[in-house]
Amino acid sequence: MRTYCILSGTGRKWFPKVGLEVHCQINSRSKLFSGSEVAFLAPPNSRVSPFDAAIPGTLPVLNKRCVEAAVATALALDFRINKVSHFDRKHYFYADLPAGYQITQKQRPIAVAGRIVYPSHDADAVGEMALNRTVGLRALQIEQDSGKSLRRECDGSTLVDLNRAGIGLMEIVTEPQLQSGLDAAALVRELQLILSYIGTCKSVMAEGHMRVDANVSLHATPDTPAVITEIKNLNSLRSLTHAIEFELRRHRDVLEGDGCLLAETRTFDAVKGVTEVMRKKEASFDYRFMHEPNLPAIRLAAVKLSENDVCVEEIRESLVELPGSVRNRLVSRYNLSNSAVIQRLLEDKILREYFESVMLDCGNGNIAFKLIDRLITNSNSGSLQVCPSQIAGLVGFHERKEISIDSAMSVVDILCHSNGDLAGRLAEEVIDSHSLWLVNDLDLLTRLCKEAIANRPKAVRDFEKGKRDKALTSLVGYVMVATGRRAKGQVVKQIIKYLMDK
Amino acid sequence: MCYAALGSDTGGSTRNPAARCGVVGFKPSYGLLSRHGLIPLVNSLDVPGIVTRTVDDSAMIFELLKGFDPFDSTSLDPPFSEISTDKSDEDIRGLRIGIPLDFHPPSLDDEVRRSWQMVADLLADVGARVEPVRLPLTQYASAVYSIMASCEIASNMARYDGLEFGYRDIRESVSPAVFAATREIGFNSVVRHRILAGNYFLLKENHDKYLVRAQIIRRLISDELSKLFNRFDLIVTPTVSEPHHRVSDYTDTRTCEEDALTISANMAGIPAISLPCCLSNKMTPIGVQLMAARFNESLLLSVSKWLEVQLEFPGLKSNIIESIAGS
Repeated sequence: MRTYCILSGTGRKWFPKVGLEVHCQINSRSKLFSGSEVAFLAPPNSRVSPFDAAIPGTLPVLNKRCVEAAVATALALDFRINKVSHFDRKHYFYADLPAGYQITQKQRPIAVAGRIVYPSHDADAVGEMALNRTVGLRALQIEQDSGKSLRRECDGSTLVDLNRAGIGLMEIVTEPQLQSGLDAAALVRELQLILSYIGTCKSVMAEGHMRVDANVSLHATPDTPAVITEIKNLNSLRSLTHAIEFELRRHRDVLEGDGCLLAETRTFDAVKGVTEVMRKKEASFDYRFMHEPNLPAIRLAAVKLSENDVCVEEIRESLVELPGSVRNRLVSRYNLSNSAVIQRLLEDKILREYFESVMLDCGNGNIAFKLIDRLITNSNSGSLQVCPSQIAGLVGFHERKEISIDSAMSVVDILCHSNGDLAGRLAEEVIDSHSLWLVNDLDLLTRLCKEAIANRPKAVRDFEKGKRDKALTSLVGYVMVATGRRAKGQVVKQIIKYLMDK
Repeated sequence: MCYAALGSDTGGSTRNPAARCGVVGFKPSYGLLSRHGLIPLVNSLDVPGIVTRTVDDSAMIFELLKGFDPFDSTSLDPPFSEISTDKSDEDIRGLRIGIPLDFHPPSLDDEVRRSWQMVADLLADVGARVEPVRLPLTQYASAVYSIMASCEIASNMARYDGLEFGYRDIRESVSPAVFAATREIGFNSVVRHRILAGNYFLLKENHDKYLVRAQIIRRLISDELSKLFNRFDLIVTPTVSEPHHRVSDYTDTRTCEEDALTISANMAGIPAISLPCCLSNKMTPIGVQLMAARFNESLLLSVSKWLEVQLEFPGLKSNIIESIAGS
């Protein structure tokens, strides 16, 4: 496996190491330890129970759904699940932390030692579609989200909204095996996909479902230690990528300039495109961890004996097919190679199901997708009006070189705008009635090519002068017009070349 | 003045004042009474305490309040026999009563010791098997308590920052300064001392050295006490070692040692009750404490009732039902 490194202007090699802490909001109706609703964009402080506001005398009650979500996520990411785990208190003072501590899992989280496999961001560039990266995942822990604090510029006061305080989070900590901002974004994108497949996190970063902290260091050799800086609260793939790229460059510039790199906590200013110091990260801020005494340990059941049991095996059996497996199928069974196409099929379940039913009756995935795409562009009601077998039929004709791709697209257009009259008619009939069959008659084509040569003397002169491409475009164009675009461009080109070379 | 009151008992804070005021102070087993609504001091030890004038009233309040509460994840609903507080002399005969010698500190007041002896004799006279017993780990209970308590107190007090509720120092405007000023003024020195000690014990380099070790010893103390109840039905001890006669004596000399006799019951989560026993020479009340195995409130309360009848403490006697029936 090649080791990624950054080359500086001086030709010196630096080895980046990036680790992420991804905070994923659990997709549950109520919060982790209280019954208040998890709602996006609710009016400030309208979803706060006494427990969320740390009113003395309130106690945490564990939300079963959150445990189930954590188990499902751990299974999807190949974690080793701890049958027994417990909660700890992590103490620090902040306006958005009413209790003065966060309930989290430090000593014994629910899962450890997982891994995520994701398509490398530079797969296309290298041309190796199957290139996957694997990054180790250190732990998955269940914990409370904090509230939100907003600084008012006008008077410097701070406003606190506790709606978010107490929402369940799964914090997923990666090993520092990432190598760049793009690499980090690729990992997070795959994580978003996986979690939305299994339904444990809605994964829309813009809505705050997922937030990332990045730990960045730049090493002289892969084994020498280096200063680590932390960039907090990156809330889009774009800022994740740019923040890490900027920070790695900043590390390089300081190290090469013989400056002193400080272990700091920084934030990313998306507008300026730079990271800025948030606070000096003391070598070890002591959070005074303490076991949470109000919550019994989480004990996962081997067999479900009562309603309150969370059973790992039951969850494993009900886990849906994961993106990795779907992706493999799309590539190997359908020969798809375009990563954008694959990504769309991965992200859109209805599209994928339609695609796979088309593929039951034909063989060329790429053509099938092109036609389905056309269908989507034409469909305005949100539902696909043409049945899969029609599309499959068109693909078949194309494979047998009986129609051109353009004609196939036209058929799709026609079927879409027919208001149901053609629903029962075969694609074949449409092609017949609109005379869309490909012209494959070689004699006819040859005759038309000769005609093109005769009628486009300028193009012929260009060809002889050496401007072959320009000439061919013109000559082929003539034939295509003459056939109403029902000839295969490649075939026409070959014929013309043959004739010209004679 | 009233029929019943609720308090909280973390290391004896219901039984201790009950003994000094000549009333019944009852701490049920940990987990039987919900802590939802109880302002916490030490979550692992806190139990809502019941203060009444008679044992019957304590039993009634207990029956009404006990039971599983979904808002308290440490609350339980074990199978329970109904509490009946009518024990005759016959029922006392044959009960095995333990007198722990380790609950006899050097500072034990003479009058307190005599009242303890009196209760032991009352039980022996009707045929109970009253025997001395050793609980050698009791001597460590205070030290364990002070570590555990200060850690949990430091944690539980972290929420008093003046933002969501309570006193807020408004002279400061910047967040950390508001917290510091609010807490400096809002907490008295006793609480501040406990918080500082707790924060010290919770530091990463100290956590295992102090808190974890304290918790191990706590487990040992708890096990020692629980095992005792394999051989004995009840144990009888004094509630406080010195009956202070004046408030000033009490506040000036208050130390952790005050709770030494009552802490063990919290550590083990077992039920304990303080009964008014007799009056001292200075006419101040002296109490006696009974403890039983966890969830054995039935036996504890019924023997307490029997003792109450024998002791005839000159206190306010009429219980709730009698008063309502009479009016």
